[in-house]
Amino acid sequence: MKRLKSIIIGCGLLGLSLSVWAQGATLNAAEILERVNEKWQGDSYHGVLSIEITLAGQSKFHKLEAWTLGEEYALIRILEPEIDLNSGYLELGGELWYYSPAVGSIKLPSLALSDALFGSGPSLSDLSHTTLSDDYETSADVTESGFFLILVPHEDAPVVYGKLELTVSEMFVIQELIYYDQRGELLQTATFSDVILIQDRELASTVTIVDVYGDTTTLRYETAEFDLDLDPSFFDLATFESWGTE
Amino acid sequence: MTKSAMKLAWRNLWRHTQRTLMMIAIVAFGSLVILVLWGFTDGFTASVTQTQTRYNQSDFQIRAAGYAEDPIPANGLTPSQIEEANALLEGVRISAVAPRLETNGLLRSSYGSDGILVRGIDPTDEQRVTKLHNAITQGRFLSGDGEIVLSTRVAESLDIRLGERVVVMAQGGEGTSSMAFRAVGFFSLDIDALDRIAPITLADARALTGWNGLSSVAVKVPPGTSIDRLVASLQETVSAGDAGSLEVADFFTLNPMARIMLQGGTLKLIPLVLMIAAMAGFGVANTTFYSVLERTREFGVMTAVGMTKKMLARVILVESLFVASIGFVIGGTLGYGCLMYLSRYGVDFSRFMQGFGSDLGLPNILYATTSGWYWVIAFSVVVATALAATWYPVRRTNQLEPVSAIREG
Repeated sequence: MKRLKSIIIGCGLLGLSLSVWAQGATLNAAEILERVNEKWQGDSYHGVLSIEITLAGQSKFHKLEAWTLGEEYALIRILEPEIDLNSGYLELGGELWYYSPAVGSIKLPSLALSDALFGSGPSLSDLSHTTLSDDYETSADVTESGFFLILVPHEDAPVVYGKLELTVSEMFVIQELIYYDQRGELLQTATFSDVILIQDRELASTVTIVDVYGDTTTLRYETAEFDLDLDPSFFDLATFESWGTE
Repeated sequence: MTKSAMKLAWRNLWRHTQRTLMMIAIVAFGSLVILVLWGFTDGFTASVTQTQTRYNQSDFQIRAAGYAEDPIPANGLTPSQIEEANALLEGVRISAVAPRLETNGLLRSSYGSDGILVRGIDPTDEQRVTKLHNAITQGRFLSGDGEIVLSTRVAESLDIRLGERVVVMAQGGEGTSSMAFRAVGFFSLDIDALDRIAPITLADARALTGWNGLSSVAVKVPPGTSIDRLVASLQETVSAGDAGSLEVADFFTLNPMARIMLQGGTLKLIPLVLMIAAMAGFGVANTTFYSVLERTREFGVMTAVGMTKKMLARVILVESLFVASIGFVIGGTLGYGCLMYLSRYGVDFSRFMQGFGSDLGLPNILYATTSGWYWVIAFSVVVATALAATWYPVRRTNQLEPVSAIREG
């Protein structure tokens, strides 16, 4: 009986491996990345995130509410710390706005999108779509638990990294993303953990980024909703003004 | 008569060695300070203007009127204005012209990001108007598309090595655009403000900014040409309406802060030089006056035995002249030696400049200049002061009555 159980389990595991191998054999690296991207981003998103940043032993904590629609629209409302409550950022196409209840709306140079988020290691664009874009030469290997991808930027790609290594589960959830500089030296490691199921979508609800200096950024999805019916008109400066009055 | 006055004056001087040495020291110090101050002020102006024109701006630039108020590519020279600028320079005695397209951008490496001034250039033309290529300390100057040259300071701060890929982000015609470049060379200049310059090719700058025109046309004139006169004449042509949408910008127009600091710098020095001269003059006058007071009896005897008051006044004047000359030779030699040293090695103000100088475009090392005119100026000031300072003692001597002078002394 025990032997039979082992065989069944063994067959099951083999079947799973074969299925993954078959998927890996049929999916190329670009397709795997596309599936990962769908899981990671979705068409629209709304949720509450927390970001904890530890720089040189000093920690900062931020809690945000965020909305995104495609790659064009994004709205962030700061919930914590208290001093920044109801401040926020609005990205409209290539334009970026900052809002503070005391000052009002200020247009920022869109280059600010490349600034480190709240002084953390990765930038806003690093945390969104840049690292998974079409700027890389990709190769994929099937592993026991999913896929291992190597992304090397094209010669003329506007990417500062030398290489990215991406570990993806068989359910197309990123597990680990390792950034290397152009000399092949490790820059930072992003670990994706605490996978949760939201609307039939597996999502790593915690992302921990550790750089070579030991500074860390931990991003947690506290709530998340995907594929909402968000109207582009919601992404407007007027939305800033409504905060705190609702 | 004059020979006897000189002999007497010389002997008188060395009868009171201590007093004479003190007067010489005062004059020497005054001469030294005037020379060093003059040479260093001139050198300061030259250090700033020469470094900027040699490595950054060239002799003057032509840009679109109003560009300085909002220096973004879209406010630069349009293709038709470029033609106007070329027409304006036709027949003018210039040695080279180079097109430029500049925009502020963000440079990213694996290790961080920093603000830069992206400068689109024609590598060949640019080398005719500025000498930034001579400041390359690692690698080589720009030669083709996809390349970028950075300052050593920026490269070090972002840990960029030769041959590595960097990303430049800038505001393009349709939002932010990013382009990858290879770092092919690093330059070092001693003005922190110039460290932000990052040359790329004009074609790459146009692709990055989406602007088909230029920011400016940099112009170099042959040696010996008066830039001020040439700029004034071109500006007159522009104002006359032949090319009204253009502006001819000289060094001070391109550096408004430097205008406040440097323009008329040497003239502003005159009150200070006069104060130093007055200080030295009072020193000489004071010592001479007391030497006259001390020798009242002696002068009484000299006039009693037949020396005329005119001769006596001449002796005192010659004494002052001797003191001024010896003091000037010592102070002038030391001062000129200092200037020669400072013109060669300069004074390193880098720690001070990090605080505020970089914003004003000041070099970290300031050099003095040397000129024979400094000797003439310092000598004239010192001798004139010494002679003027002797006026009162001489006047007093002229009023001496031999009998009462002998009695008083």
